[in-house]
Amino acid sequence: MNPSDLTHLDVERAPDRCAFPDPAPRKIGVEEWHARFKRVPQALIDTYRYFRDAGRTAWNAYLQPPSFFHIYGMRVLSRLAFDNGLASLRLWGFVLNEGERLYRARQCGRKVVALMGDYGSLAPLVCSFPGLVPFYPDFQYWTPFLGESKVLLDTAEEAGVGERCCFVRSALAAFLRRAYFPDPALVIASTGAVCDDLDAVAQRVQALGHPFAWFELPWRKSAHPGYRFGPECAGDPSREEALLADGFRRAAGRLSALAGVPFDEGRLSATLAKVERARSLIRRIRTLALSVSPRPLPALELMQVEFAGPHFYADLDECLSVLEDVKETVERRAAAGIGFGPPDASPVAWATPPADPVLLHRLEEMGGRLAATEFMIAQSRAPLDLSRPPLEALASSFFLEASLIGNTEQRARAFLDEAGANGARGAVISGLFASSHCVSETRILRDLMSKRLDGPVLAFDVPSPGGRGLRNPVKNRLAAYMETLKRRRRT
Amino acid sequence: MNAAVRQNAREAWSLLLIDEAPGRVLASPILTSRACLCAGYAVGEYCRDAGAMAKSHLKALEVFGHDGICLFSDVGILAEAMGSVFHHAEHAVPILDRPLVGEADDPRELRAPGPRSGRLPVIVGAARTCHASAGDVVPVFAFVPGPFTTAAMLAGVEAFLTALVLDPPRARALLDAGARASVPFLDALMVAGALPVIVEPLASASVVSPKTFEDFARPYILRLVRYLHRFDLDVVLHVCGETGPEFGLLPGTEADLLSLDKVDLAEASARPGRRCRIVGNLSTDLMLRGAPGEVGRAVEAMIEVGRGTPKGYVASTGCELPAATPDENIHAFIEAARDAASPPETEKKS
Repeated sequence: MNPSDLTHLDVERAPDRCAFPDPAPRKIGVEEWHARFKRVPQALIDTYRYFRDAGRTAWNAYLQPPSFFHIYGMRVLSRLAFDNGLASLRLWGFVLNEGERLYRARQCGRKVVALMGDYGSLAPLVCSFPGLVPFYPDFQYWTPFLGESKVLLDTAEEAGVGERCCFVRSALAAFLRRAYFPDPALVIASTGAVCDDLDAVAQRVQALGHPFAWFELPWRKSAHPGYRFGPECAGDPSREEALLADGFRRAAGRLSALAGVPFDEGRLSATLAKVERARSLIRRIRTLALSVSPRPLPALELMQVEFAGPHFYADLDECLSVLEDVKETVERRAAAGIGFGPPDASPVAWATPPADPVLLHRLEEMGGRLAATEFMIAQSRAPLDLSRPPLEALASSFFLEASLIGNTEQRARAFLDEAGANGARGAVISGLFASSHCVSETRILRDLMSKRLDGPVLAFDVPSPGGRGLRNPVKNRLAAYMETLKRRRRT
Repeated sequence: MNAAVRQNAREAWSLLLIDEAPGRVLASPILTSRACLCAGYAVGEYCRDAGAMAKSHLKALEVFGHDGICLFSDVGILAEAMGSVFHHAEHAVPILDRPLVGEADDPRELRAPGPRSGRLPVIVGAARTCHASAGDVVPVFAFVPGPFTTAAMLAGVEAFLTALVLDPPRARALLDAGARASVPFLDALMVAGALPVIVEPLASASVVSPKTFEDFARPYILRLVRYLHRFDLDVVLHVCGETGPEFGLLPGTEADLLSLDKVDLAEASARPGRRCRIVGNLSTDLMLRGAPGEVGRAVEAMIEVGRGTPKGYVASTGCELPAATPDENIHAFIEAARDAASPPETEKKS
């Protein structure tokens, strides 16, 4: 299947869109979206559904305003502002609905597979099996911040995983509390080239007794034909790829037993065509959002788009449709020269996904914009060579751009290439207190960024939710940093 | 599977509302103005002051650890915001003094009150504070008088009930005004973080016949439910008093949860409970006058029946807790529910 043939997925939304045209781009809060939502035609609300093969059910519509999620506990939303366009509303609804979607998956007979640590390589494999739905418990990382709640962090601490572990400890707490996702039919956790914190959490999850398999992610030691990082990586790329492809084969065996159908390369190829379409949409949206001025998509929405890459928010087909919608909106805005924020917003490169979404919102409020991102999931948007056998294509794509399997310097260089190309004047590293990706990662990143960007670098650890006393100093540092950037521009 | 960690109210409600069995029975007695005693406020102050209302509920939550904050002062709050006059006393909830709509007035001319009218900001402000303070661990419910009840508070109960029989067009105009009046209030509550509960005490079979419910109450309740469903909210309908004769009609309101009072719980569970989650229904008289041991045993028996509800069940009281309900009885309620076995699987929506 050619990825470009997949745009038909979105055809049915076209007529209804006309009844609810986008206004001039502007960020609006929960209250204004609530009022605006009243004018959304009911037909449009009925159109957007996940698990479309389940038909029109009482539960699978997902076009909901931010006020809906705020009522049900995502309290941080009242501190944010959102793109006022329909595509972004749809994106938010689809993303924030994922927890319910996983339960609904189980209710309608699908099997939910928890993946940990690989961020994008195993999910396509899971999606290629009928009736299997992938998700990442690791992404409970955001839950304490969305709810402005210490519940998960406290539970992790009570389970013996406290502040010495990064926010990924929320995943363990979510397993224990059994209210954030259904008990998975299988957990496949990565080991090897993953961070120690994640590895420790995965071991604790294994001890909970869920059906479990380990998956080894090899360290990137060698050069790849398309691999852009330096001459020091002059090994044999085929060895690592073969190792990874073997791992995929073993994982496919477990998934096959779970799904009750044999592994089928043809089916995986068809899935990879869709995945490549999704990745190309993410790449296209990123390129425009990071390079065009005024920016056609706000930072938070861009982060949501990027995080569609690892597992398509548990519904690949609908995710494609959502991304098509966002891409169309972003292209339309870019062509019309309309967007968010002032044209002279200070471009900033941002490393590490900010656990607290308020930070990205603040960056824009303070006159900044994203010019590059490194959210540790670059592998989930890397191109797939569909001419190759599918397992090899998946493996080679992973080695091409994976964020976490090489050294920090490699990661920084790719990021800085993008930052330089998009005119970044400085960089922000929103670190994770106690994270163990690399003990000196922040320092390495900061040094490289300072040199390459010829601009200031702000590095801080994101404070836990619930303590304004901690949040305010970070806010003040970000404000002072943005002021510095503006002054440098003026002089 | 894993060693269970006790789910908080937010988590358990979230599971119930997506047709999953929570890890425990939810215990949410209708603790409204009774909360003021926990924080040392008089009922009158609770009804007039958002800060007092919020502090009362947050303190009550600390004291009792129940599973839902229920913000409510009185059934006349919308009618008062439109112009009906209520008598306020220091130690009682407001009561209707002078209805807005006289015999000579045309209800069609009534305008919906803005969210800043009358005492509506009291509930909205309290909702905002409670959600910001405790909304991560417990849902905040705000009780909104339904169109039938508001119509009665606009015209006077007797005049409205008479109009239902003698002048149905006028009754419908009042109901329409009541429904319209709710919308800005509902919006303000939702934005504040509260889940609205439609409360219709005057539409119960204690007051009107099932036919009157079907002809006059249900269509307007349905209108509000559909309005809330547009935002994909789960809607609770609370009808206190007798509702057994209305069992066949209640699912027609399309409410997702029915909070019931004087009914046979087994029958409610077996009939409307096939389509709606059931919330209820311990006698408030028992809560007021019973001994803690009696309350505990009654809650156990109630849960034994309620937990079999196909769509899910929440242990609650049939109506608001009376102001003089002893603390010990509220504790007994919560403890008995806490000791109950986990609920069984619910029937899936699909």
